Amino acid sequence: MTISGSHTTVELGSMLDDLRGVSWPARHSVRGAATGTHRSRITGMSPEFTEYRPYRQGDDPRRLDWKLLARTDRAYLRITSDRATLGTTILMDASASMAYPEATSAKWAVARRIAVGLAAVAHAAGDPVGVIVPSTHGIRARPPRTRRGVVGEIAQLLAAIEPEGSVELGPTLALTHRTPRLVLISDFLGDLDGMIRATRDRIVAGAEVHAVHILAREELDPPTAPILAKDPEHPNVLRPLVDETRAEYLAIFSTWRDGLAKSWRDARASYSQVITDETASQAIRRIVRPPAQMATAR
Amino acid sequence: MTFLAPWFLLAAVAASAGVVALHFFARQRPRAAILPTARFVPDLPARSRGRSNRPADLLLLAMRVMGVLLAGLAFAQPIREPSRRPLARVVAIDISRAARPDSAFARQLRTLFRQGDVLVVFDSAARVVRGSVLDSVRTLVRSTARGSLSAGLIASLRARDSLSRDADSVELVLVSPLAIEEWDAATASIRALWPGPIGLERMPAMVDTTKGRLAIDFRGDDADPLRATVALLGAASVASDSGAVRLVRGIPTAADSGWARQADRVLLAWPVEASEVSQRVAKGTTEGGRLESDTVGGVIAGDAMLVAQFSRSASPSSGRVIARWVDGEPAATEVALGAGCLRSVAVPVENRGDFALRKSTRDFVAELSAPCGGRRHYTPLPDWAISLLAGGGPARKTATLRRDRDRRSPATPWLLGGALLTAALEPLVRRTRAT
Repeated sequence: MTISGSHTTVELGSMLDDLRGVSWPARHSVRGAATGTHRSRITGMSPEFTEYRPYRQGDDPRRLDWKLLARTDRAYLRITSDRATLGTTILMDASASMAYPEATSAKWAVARRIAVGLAAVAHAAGDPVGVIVPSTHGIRARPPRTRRGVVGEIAQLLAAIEPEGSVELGPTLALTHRTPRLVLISDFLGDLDGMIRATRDRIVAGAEVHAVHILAREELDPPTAPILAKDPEHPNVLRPLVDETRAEYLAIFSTWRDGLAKSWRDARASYSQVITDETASQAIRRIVRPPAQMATAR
Repeated sequence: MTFLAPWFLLAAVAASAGVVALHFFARQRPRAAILPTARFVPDLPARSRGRSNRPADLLLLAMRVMGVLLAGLAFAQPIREPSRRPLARVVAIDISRAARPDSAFARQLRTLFRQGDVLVVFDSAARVVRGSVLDSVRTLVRSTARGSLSAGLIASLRARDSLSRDADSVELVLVSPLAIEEWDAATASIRALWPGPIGLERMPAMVDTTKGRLAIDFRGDDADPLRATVALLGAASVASDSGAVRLVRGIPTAADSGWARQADRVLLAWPVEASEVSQRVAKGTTEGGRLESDTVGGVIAGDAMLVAQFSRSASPSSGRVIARWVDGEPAATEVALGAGCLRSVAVPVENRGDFALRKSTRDFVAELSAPCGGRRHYTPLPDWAISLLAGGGPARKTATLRRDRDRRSPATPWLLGGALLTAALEPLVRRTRAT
């Protein structure tokens, strides 16, 4: 796959090459009508045989297995599985907390790479993919599309965004109501409760939600020099991160992360932590890996 | 370099160590830095006490330490001390009438001096010799004035102060015949002002040739009452040029002056005008025809006191006072006249009564006939006086003599200015670092 744009090609080319052949199966049967790679909830006329069912009055006689009828003199319907596409929307958090560390904005860079990588993987499977980035200047979006070049467009859109301000992702979720697969890429330092509430509603409605938690190494292991920690989205929050408070900070942050993971899992979403010093391709492989037990078809 | 008040510097070093320690422990406002997860940091006061393994904010620490050290240096008053000799010498040489230096002694004197030593010469007064000391020693001229050890010691004390800056120790060498006439009531007290011993170099003393029978050449009328006084003195009334004293009852002639100049001779000019005037006529202003009298009851010369009712009508010419009326007015003066001296006497002589025959009158005339410069006492000082002069112990260090309060360090204003500038900049830097 190729992506137009010189700088995005250099930056993302090696990652996309690394992701070649990676598949992103749906966690459960999809309800899509278009033919795709994912197992569909709707059984159809595909060659993949699954089972026989006795003919009942009203069934489509074209689905009768005539050979079986000839052999056994019994009327059975041939049931086969079908494949559908899974539209994917990636919701990006472009708030000021994503532009950390200040020198490199590594969190946003990793988030961008993961978004483009996931888009590429989904697009390679023929799934429509799009991106939504709410910001203080409005919402920038690419609706889910399967056309060629959509990954490049997503990459270019994300490359032009500088994280700033404070933006709530929860209200933006409403714009993704038609998308069966939703990826939230954020540090979840905003309105977490609102986001989980909105996401839970989507999950109940049948969507597949992936929560990708971006963490900076410097947040997990801050420098030992005493600093007055300043929240970029809430300037009135000034806390001294010194020797006496460091251990407690690490404990509180760890507890919060554990709680966050539990909240997402309780909401039946897929939760993944990505640290900025982890390669994007590695993280993407982890995100797209199917869980140990697939959900049964509904 | 040395310091006038070094303990200020020690205090500044201690204060700097305290500043460094405080930078490890002091409550400080850490540098603000972005951290998106700041909400998870416990909400303590921003100025929380922090202890770190290295001092915080090295720039601020350096400024504070520099300010404290500059202030300490300013108050310590550093001065540049030139290279100092271990020992400098003040040599006080007696050139009074009692001194009789010979060539051998002069050669010995020159060995006393080293580069930078100070020469003081004294007779009745003292002066510091500037310039080439060795050349000055060669050209010293003996004075006819009576010597004064007190004057020599005072000038030596002043010379010591000028040497204290250039030498660690100063010693005094006193070159004098140490005659008894050079000791006065203040000498012991002045000696006590010189700490440490004084080296004494005994110079040969003059021999007093004026001792012996007094010989007075009387030039006056035969009926002059003073002729009787001189005769009763036993002074040979020698009408020749070989005597030591010539008493002229009138105005001395040029020949008389020439006689006195040739040798150590005394020319007594004792005019008779006062005795020719009525006793009751006195000098003063007239008021309604009445004259005010100017009488005085006595006159003193040396140890002799003459008591009578004198009517003063004249004053002696200016010069060294050798006799005073009891009210302090000069009665007789002496001026140098070549090798001799001229004494002007303004004491009226009664030509009636026994005034001229009294012993007190004879003693008074004998005092007026003393050798030029007064009676000579070239006898050496007693042993106790010499021991007092010599003293004991080592030469005193000039560091204890130096009056530091009179010294100022030229660097102090600059150092103080630097400390104040650092103190003024510190808040600005602190605010900048905090933001």
